[in-house]
Amino acid sequence: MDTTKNFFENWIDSQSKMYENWVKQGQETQKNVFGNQAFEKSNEMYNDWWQKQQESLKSFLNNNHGGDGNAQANPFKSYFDQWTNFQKQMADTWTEQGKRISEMYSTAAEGANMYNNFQKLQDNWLTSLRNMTQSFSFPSGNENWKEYTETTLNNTFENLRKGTDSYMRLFELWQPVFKSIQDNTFTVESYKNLLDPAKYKDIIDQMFGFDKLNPMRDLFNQYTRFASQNFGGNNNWSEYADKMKSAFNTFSQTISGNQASVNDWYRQMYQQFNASMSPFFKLVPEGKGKEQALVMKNLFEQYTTASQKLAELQYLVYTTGTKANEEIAKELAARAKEGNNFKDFNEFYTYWTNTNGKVFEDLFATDAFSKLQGELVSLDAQIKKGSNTLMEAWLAPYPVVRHSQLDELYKANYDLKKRVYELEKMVKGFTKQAPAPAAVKKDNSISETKPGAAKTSSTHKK
Amino acid sequence: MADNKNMIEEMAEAGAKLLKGYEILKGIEDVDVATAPKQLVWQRDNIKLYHYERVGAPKIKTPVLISYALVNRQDMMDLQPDRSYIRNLLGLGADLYIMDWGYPTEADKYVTLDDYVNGYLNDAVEYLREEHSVDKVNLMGICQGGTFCVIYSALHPEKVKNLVTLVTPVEFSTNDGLLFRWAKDMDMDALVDNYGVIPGNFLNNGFALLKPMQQASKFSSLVSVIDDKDKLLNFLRMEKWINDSPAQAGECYRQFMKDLYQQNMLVKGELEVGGHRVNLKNITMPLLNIYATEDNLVPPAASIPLNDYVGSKDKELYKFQGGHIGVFVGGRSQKELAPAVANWLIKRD
Repeated sequence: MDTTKNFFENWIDSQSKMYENWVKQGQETQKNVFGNQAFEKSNEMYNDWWQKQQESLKSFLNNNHGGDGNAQANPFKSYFDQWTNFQKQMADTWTEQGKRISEMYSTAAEGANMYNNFQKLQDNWLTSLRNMTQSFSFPSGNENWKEYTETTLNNTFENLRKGTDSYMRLFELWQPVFKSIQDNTFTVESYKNLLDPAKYKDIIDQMFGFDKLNPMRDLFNQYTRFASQNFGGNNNWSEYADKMKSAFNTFSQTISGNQASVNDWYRQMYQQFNASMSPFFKLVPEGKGKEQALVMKNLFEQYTTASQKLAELQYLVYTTGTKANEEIAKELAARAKEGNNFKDFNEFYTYWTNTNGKVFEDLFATDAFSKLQGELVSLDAQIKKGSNTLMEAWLAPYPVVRHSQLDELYKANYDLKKRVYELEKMVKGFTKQAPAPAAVKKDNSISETKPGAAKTSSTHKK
Repeated sequence: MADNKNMIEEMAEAGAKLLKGYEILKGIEDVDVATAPKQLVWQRDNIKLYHYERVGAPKIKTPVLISYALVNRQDMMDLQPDRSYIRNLLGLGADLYIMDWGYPTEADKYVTLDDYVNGYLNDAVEYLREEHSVDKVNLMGICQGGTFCVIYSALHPEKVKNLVTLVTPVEFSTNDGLLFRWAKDMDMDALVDNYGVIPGNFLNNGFALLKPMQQASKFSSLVSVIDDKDKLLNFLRMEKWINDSPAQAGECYRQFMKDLYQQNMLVKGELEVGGHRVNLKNITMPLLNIYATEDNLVPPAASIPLNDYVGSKDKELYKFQGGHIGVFVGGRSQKELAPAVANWLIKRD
């Protein structure tokens, strides 16, 4: 997805791709379809729908560019009403078409041929649907989208989209196995050759959030910028940076699936870093600059360790996942033998999530996982502290309030509030304990002072 | 799948449902939770005390003060009108007050366990004592809020008439629950020193990891109900509650996790709060201790032992078949739990 384009441009792109794919595969399928009429008609319907989409978009764009300023209070909302209606019609048409075509093919020979063509059709449909749902992301920063960006609804739809994406990826992943079952060629041992490990890893990464983590690469980029600015002209640094770049490029190829190699790689990298960088610290004069450099060095060490630990965690998760796959393969083989296959993908998906759930829950209960998680959480907290320390140092020359200054304020505020609270309690306690003041008796014998007469004290009798 | 002819049909139907679901989602203006009417009657700092509105005089004359956990919000007890432990209790005659612990900010990082128990909770109890002209109130604690109530009752037994604990952890040596296992390997000082207030997301991520596949299955099963507005709203209310996670005041979190989860000081009689030793034998008021059999957040082994440590003669252990959340929002809970609690309180009013 091209991130330089705005939401609607991306949406249009995905629609056109879907259409092209649909048409292309449809034409391929049509060669094997007896009833061309049904296909042509659905093609016409889609074409007609697409034309309407185009017109609708033009109308939308006209309204938002120089049109009547009061045209629509929320143009996005009304546009999406149209969009969803059209999409629904498209999906209904697609479902109907799929039903009709599948009903035409009831013999095994035609069914097999149809399968191959529909496999391609389905793959394209899945890819297109995924493109469409991925393009359906609410652009941030736009006032009109606030209602969709800050509510449970948006979060739910986003999670639903991700869940659907995982569902579809799993569907794709296991297709070769289902085909093999269909062809009566599936065995428990064969599943390893049928599952694409890269696709499997993507699913696990997405489920456990590993796809968002790349601390070493980010840190490396940041550190190279920092070092270039501070030690830019030094040849040793440049040599180290080149070695690091080269190491990163070969990283994934050389150590895939081998935890011992990962550990070794990180250790070598850090040793190389130390060897290259240590001379600098002798040359840099004492002061804030050196302090910052040392903090950065410690951060690098912590990041290295965190990345190593994270890689260990990922390794645990991936290898655990393969155990689940083995169980699932055994179940599939047993069911195929009994002629009791899963009736639909939903049923398989439920079984898949239950099996994986149990396997991962067992992993999470182990000492190894608990210790590793604890170490990572601790490292994360330390890295955050180190980053904050560096950020404070960098912001020191600027007129901004820093975290440590606010912290002092919070402590003082807390202590003061506590003191006030204690004093209030003391006062309340005294108020409860103090005897009620005696009522003042009115002396009826004292006459009122008349105007102009000398004032007398109320205690003196006349 | 076995029947290839249905493949496209299946995927197309799923896609159509997704689009229909978006349409319904778009039409939902607000996801409402915790709608039982209540009034703010007391506040100090960010901590509030609410009084639920009643229809008619209460059957349970002694006011009931509910203390929920600091983690997530008390809204779960009143998730929706037909699944509301609060409304059920009100209907059965309870006069209910509830602590609202608020949303701690960075400025609250130094708030301690003592501040919560002997400060805010005690102030709320004092308010009720004065307002109702009673010496003692009923305390009802849920989860960590229950642990607070247990500590409070041990330190101030003269102010508590009856104590009800629901899915409340007191025995932390068990490793039955993953949280109990994981907490023992966490460096709490590093966490608190570096975060100040523990982010709600940090805790939420931990909870999500307890059932790693639940997220995947939750949202795929959502597709089957997404075109039903009522079922979808039920789902959304739970989602809203799950994602509403306040941060945790650092110093309170530090002591709670280190002294309780890691060192199990409460049942050992070694816990000190505000300089006072907490002795569970000082709890002599009637106790109703409710636990959930399928609770993976607070396993039964963490809740049940409370009855062995207190000094109460009148004490009851109540087994509820269900999970940590199901105790309040499950269908069976509506008919079973609130009546059980209300009847127990009425007999001891």
